[in-house]
Amino acid sequence: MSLNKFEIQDGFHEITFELDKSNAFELVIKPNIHADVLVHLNGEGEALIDVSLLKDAQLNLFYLNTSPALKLVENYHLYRDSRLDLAYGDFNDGQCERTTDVFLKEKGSQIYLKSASLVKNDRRLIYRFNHQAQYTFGNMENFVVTLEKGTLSLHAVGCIEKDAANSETHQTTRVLNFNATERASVFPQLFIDNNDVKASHAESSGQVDPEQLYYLKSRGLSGDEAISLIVKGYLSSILENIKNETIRETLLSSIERKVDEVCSR
Amino acid sequence: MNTLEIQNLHVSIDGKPILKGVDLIVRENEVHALMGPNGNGKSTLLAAIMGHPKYEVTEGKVLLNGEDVLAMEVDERAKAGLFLGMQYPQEINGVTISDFMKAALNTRSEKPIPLFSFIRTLDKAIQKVEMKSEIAHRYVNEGFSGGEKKRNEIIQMMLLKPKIAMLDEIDSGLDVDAIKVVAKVLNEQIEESKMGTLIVSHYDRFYQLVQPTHAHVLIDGKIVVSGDRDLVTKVDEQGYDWLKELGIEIIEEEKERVVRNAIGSIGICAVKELSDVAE
Repeated sequence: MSLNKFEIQDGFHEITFELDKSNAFELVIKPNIHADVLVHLNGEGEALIDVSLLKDAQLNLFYLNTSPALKLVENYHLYRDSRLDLAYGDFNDGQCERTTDVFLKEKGSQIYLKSASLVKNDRRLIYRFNHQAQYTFGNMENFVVTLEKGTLSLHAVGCIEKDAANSETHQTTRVLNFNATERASVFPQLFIDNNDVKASHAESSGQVDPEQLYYLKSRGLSGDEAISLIVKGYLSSILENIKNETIRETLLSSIERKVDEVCSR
Repeated sequence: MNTLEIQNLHVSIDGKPILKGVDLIVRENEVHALMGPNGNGKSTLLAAIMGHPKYEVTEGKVLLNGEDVLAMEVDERAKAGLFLGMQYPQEINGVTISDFMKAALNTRSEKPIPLFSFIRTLDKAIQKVEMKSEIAHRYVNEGFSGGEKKRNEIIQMMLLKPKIAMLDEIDSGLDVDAIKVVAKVLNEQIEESKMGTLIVSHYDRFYQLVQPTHAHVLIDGKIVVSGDRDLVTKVDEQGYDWLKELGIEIIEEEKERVVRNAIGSIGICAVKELSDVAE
């Protein structure tokens, strides 16, 4: 197994993970470092990603997935008062299997996860927050659009261990679908071993709201134009709170390109 | 001359007849006030003209400059020059007003509208309704107050420059100052583009600011009385009871409330949730 190790400094970094060449990646964010990292997932194959945020580190980590087929195991270790903003932009046509475990190991650590997926193929996702210390916080928001023969299985999991009093874990998953050939199974799960916590989950799934469609069409947009605008808006939800312009532009143009491609068919 | 002509229009919702033969002509420069108690078909008339999928036209014609509006898709009606300022405008998450309006203008022209000129036009419209420029980058109606939503409808009307504008209770949710602002914009647009206007409102104060040239009372799916500005004053002072003397039965209904069904999914939960929301 070849290991690619990155020690991230302050500021913005753009990295490409070539899955054909390597299958293990390690990122270390040292204490007090504040970094924005855009990761391109290229090639196909299996990989292990391991990321550690040391005390008071802050990392905005964005993955742009262009791989035709990949299987990822990702582990994130969050130490005291560190904060990870994790965003996945899965706009590729390929298969994708991903198991993400976030370990909130020390007091005050925080994870904010946002994912946006255009599902046209088989996609199996597990996003799990493991709250292991007091005053840890987790919030997960998943936005999924299923298309054609897309099949999604998403496990959204929040685990609060016995010692993790005063922690919070929240999750929301929204699925937008277009026809009967698509399948989306969402499994929201909360496992809680402490009484003094806050936890919530919310899910919705359905087609584009006909009232929204009517509203947009009443201003002159065709059905396709209206759907394209709604889907772009829906997937762009992951861009909220992203301040870095390069990341915003890259993700936005990727969303627009992909949605235009899909909606113009 | 731009003319919207409604002939013997019958409209049903889920098989229930709401409009039972409406005849109305709105020409350019004219301001028509459409009044009547709630639940008698005012909003239905406007929505049916715009083409809301829930409303089924069972009989009659709607013509815009002689063209068959009912044969057109909703977007074609908009492009032909119809506009409906809605009573309950939709919230569209993730879509900014700027992106929405850019798409709405671009779909009307061969070449994309130059960005600079678009920004200037949009900003001017926003200023006119006395909102902050930043609103352009907010998601359409999301988190807007009732008044902000209505002003946003007016912004869209200014940009899209319709031949005939239909405004469904555009003044509700607006405070007195905001009503003045909206009325001023409306009057300017009528003056500039000779727009014809069909207004549904319950308030005389709005009709004082936008002087109707014509007024109608719609009861039980039919226009029972038509007149001019004086009819508005009469309704404001006396309500609708005097119509009984003319042998007209007054029907007042609770407004229909739209409740969206929640669609949940399978989940397991090992703790009593503090909040469990499915939308």
